[in-house]
Amino acid sequence: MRPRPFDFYQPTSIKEASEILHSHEDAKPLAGGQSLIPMMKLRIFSPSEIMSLAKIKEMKPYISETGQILKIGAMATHDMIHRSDVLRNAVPVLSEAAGEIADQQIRNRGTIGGNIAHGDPSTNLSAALLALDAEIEVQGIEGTRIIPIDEFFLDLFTTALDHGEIITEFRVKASPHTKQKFMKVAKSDTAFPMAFVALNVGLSEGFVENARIALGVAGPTPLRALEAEKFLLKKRLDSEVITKAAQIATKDLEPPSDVHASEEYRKQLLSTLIKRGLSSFVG
Amino acid sequence: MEVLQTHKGEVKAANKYIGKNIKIREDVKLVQGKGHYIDDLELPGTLHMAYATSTYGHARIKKIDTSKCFTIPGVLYVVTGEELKSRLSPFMEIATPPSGNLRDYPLAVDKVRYYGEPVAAIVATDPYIAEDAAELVDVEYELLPVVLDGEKSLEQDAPLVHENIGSNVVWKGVWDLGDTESAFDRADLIVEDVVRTHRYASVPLETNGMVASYDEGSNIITVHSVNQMPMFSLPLICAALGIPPSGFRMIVPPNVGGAFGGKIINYTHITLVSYLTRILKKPVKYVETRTENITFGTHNNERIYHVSLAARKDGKVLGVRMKAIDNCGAYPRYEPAGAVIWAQVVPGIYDVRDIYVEFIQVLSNKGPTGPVRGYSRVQHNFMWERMMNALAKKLNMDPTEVRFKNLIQPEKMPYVGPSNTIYDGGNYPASFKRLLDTLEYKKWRDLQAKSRPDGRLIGIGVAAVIDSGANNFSQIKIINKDFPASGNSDVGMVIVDQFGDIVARTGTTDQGQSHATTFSQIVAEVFDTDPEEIKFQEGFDSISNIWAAHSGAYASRSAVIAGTALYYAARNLKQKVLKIAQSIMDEPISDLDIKNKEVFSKVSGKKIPLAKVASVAWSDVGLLPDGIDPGLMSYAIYKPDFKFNMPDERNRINNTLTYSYSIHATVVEVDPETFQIKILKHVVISDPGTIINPLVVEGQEMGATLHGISAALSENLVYDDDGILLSSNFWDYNVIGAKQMPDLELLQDVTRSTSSVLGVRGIGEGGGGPIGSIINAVEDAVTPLNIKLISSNISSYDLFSLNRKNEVI
Amino acid sequence: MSGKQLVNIEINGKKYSAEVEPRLLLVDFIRDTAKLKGTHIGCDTTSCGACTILLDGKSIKSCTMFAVEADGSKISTVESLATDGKLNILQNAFWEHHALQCGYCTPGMLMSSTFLLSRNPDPTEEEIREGIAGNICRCTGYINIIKAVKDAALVMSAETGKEK
Ligand SMILES: Cc1cc2nc3c(=O)[nH]c(=O)nc-3n(C[C@H](O)[C@H](O)[C@H](O)COP(=O)(O)OP(=O)(O)OC[C@H]3O[C@@H](n4cnc5c(N)ncnc54)[C@H](O)[C@@H]3O)c2cc1C
Ligand code: FES
Ligand code: FES
Repeated sequence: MRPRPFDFYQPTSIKEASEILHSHEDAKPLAGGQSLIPMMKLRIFSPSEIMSLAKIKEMKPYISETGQILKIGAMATHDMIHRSDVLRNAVPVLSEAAGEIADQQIRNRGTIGGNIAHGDPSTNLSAALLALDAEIEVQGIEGTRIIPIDEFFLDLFTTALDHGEIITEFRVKASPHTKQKFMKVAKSDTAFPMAFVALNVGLSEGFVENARIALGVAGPTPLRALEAEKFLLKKRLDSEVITKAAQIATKDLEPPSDVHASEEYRKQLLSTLIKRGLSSFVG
Repeated sequence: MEVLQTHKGEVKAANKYIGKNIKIREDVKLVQGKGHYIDDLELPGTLHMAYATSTYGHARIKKIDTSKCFTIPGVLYVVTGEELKSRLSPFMEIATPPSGNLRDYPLAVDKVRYYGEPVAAIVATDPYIAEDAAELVDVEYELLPVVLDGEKSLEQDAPLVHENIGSNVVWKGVWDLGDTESAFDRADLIVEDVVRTHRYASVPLETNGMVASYDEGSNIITVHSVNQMPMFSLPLICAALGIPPSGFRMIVPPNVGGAFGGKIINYTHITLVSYLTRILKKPVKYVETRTENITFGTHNNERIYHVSLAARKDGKVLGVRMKAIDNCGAYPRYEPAGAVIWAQVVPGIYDVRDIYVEFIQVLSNKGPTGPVRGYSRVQHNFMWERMMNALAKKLNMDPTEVRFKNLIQPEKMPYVGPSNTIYDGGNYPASFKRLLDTLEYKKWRDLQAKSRPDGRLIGIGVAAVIDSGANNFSQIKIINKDFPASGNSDVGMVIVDQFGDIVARTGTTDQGQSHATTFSQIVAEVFDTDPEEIKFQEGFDSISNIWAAHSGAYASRSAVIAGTALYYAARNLKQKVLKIAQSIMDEPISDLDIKNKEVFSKVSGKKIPLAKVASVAWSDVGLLPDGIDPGLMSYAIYKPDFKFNMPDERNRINNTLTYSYSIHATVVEVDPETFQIKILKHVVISDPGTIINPLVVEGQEMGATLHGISAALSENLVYDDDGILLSSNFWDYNVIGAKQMPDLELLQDVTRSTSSVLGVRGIGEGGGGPIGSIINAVEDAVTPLNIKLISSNISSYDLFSLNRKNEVI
Repeated sequence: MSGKQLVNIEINGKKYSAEVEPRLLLVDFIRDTAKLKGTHIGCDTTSCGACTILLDGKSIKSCTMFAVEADGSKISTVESLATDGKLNILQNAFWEHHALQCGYCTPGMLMSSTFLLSRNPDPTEEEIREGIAGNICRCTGYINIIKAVKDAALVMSAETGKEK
């Protein structure tokens, strides 16, 4: 299957890109194309204008470390992220999440910017970045602003990005001393995952100091299990606490139902993944 | 000396080339990307066809407006069912009326009967444009109620898929074999159960494709297509188009990207591109999208069995009665062949003689079915393997023990079954034992018992299947006694060309079975010449006249039938070579033989190259001895004798030539929380008969095992209540990948087939063995949860739901 | 910028330029413009990997990229692997192990494996399975493919050992 026709723009600077987006209502940024192009081929989404981000000079993919802050360019690929030693040491959950995306070819093309901007609850990196409390730098005709990840996902395929804005960078704090884990359940690598979790828990002498639990395919947006996080604070991670936390995390969820899993089954998967993830942090 | 070991005629010295692990010659070009597949074919000026398809499961077409399509430059023609209705004849149906009156065209006529059915076809200068225009076809529908389930379609008030035939029944028949009444009277217990098989598809990696072109001068349509039964399809296409076979040339490219049965009913597309090329006077190409391929590229039959099985308390099965309802979707096409083909394996691998089967095939608002690897026998084999487990459960016996009680014993081989199938050898009990030993059955049973208290769910399942091969078309006469096909046949041709090269060709098509390599080994054996030296011409072309009406590659028949034809052709040609050599060398023919492309005398040691004989035979013909025609060409057409060649009044017939078997054993572990299913061990034992090339046989066995595993655990065509297909692409129709495929242990117990000339058995389909062993293993694993499985497909999601239902009750 | 655009792509060391519609998929450029038919199409959803090629040394699915985006890049396809009809080590291992039947997935499998070995000259079985997870084969059951890649790795390391 092949996409509908579209007009194509390939700006070389962010300024030029912002202007194009500003003056063209329908223009859609194209990063790795691994979400956009399949939808265009199936003709379930057909933007009439496509603006490639590939030649923008400020957006060359990068991963850098400034003190405790790690900066990841929006065009960094899943593969780069997965293989970065810096990230593996400082934010292992992000590295693991990137390595668990689809397959090698898709990881070679797909970008972190696209993964997040897509606003899809089944994107690995959205959960990982939620668990890491990331900041998102976006640029538009009005200039640059920072959006905390907690405020980024609004609804299915809807984010806090205004039209004309482009994600340029992600920032996360290095947290080499917290316990982190990404876990997913999928039928195969050529299909989308059924459920996944990203966990980031700070422990001090066995007690939880801070916890961020992010859930994938758990609702219309990537989600955090806020109540469960609160519940865990100051508790020792024994099996009773872990089971309770998993229960709290999933009890009010309304995950989507489809051919692969019902709402109920997804809740069970999420709860199990949380349990197993947390258990892996102790003993 | 004749070296080929055949079971007919005297036994010869051991084979020299047959059975050798010769590397596959076809692979060399394919690893370089130098194959020639249908989509690679570029004829000058080719136009591209795309379909607009139905978005409903069942709806009356009130109006189709195609005018918008022509707003796009490059769109040349749009055709709908309305036009075809008056220009083509409906396709021939296999069944007799009433269902034989059903009208089937390449595009929907008057109504759509399944989701995704083609309603219009657009021809444009470019595939992108054709797709653009397909989106602009405007169809006004009036929705009709759908019927999706086989049993529901038999109900009084069920919506009719084809009104003009008065019901949804395609065909029904009864097999009343032996004496079930007495068997049930003698029984200690009766086990009743329901067994269902699910809908999945063959999905070869290359989809269906075809290019038709028309030569105005000669008034001949030439079609290049991936069709795997070209000479069976040709009359169907010609009849629909209203042209004689001489006006239609059918070519299959040398490389076809897999088929597994899914490239037979594509004659509807071939007819359409042929129709269009005649109008447009330019080549017209159609290549299915994957979505189309999953939607209508051939589904496997869904079948529901209601079974009663009569047994003694020691586990011996005395008889079985069943009603089978087979759901073939919206158009029968190759069906109702599947309604009799299961009978190739009536008793499975078991010595049960009193069997009563009532078989009904029905229509529904789902995609068309047809041959899918293991066609129609998969379902029946599965039914047996589920019933054996059900019996074991009822008797509280080990499921392997119940099977041992019932396996056909080796001394009964060749075994004439209750429906006159002649099982052609093999030692089932010995193989089964070897399989269990290799699996370490006892060890796993112990581990299962030991680990259950810890909550681990380990299960062991076995399933034995008959993989019948080389079909006898006479079985179709059970459905329609006037249907003009019976037996089976194929052609082998061998020439020694003017340079003395040995060149072979057959009527088969190749979809990855490595015919060039294996067939060359057969010819090499006869000519005692290195197989590398044998040239093999790939590809199929109807005007070469190297074909029989049954030619093709389907029903695991190529090695058995075309291989034998080729063997005969080679043998005859060798005789002619020797006769000519006799006069050139002036030595008695009895002293002469051939080796490495030379004729030599066993007595004098004198030698002449084949090229010398060839030059006399082809061009220096004045030197030919009296009574010998020029040329060194041998053409043999082989038709096997099936012994019980035609169906009798009880539908008994020997419906294939060979009956290879395989037995699968699987150990699985089910995650008690996520319900994910993991295969811990999988062992297969089989008897392929004489092996021509072990690499090829192993490859087929591994491939068939992959298909079975994928069907059992993953692939599932799911329709919603409105008849919309929810799994129409690889995001939702999941075929397993390298990470899901377990390691396999393959064992073989080889015995020669007692029916085929070369001792070979057809093995390409595999009979669906892993489906039974996996479902049995999963059910065994979840015994503590008291979950009963009915279907041939199980997912973690299903297990979760079944368990939840138990918890609620 | 509507209408056609000029793209220049180097494939297997040879430059191809053509005016193409922005929507032209790279796989169609390779197959129909450059006429290199070894790269195949097997799905609509970026799932099967039959179209896998190397773009500037990295494996990608050429059905999921626009040709205009590949302007100025270097591509290798299956046709680049053999030299003058002589199979390379990986191709030879595929032949040796009969790691194919119909051959339709093979070009993609080879390119994915080439990429894997370029990074990881001694992959474990698990790493090989991961490396070809984006490539569907319907014929072989993958087992012989895994063996072939493993074997190719061994032969390659023996050869580099010899060179040293
Ligand atoms: C078969 C298959 C399986 C997959 N499985 C997974 C999986 O398991 N987990 C997972 O996380 N993902 C999966 N994906 C999706 C994949 O990760 C995509 O790469 C990713 O989601 C999108 O990144 P991209 O760079 O390709 O974005 P694109 O497809 O180019 O763009 C996606 C969206 O983001 C917008 N966009 C892109 N970049 C920016 C930017 N910098 N600023 C503003 N907007 C931007 C685009 O306009 C578009 O709306 C799968 C994809 C496929 C085809
Ligand atoms: S054709 Fe590219 S992934 Fe299937
Ligand atoms: S060899 Fe046929 S798909 Fe892999």
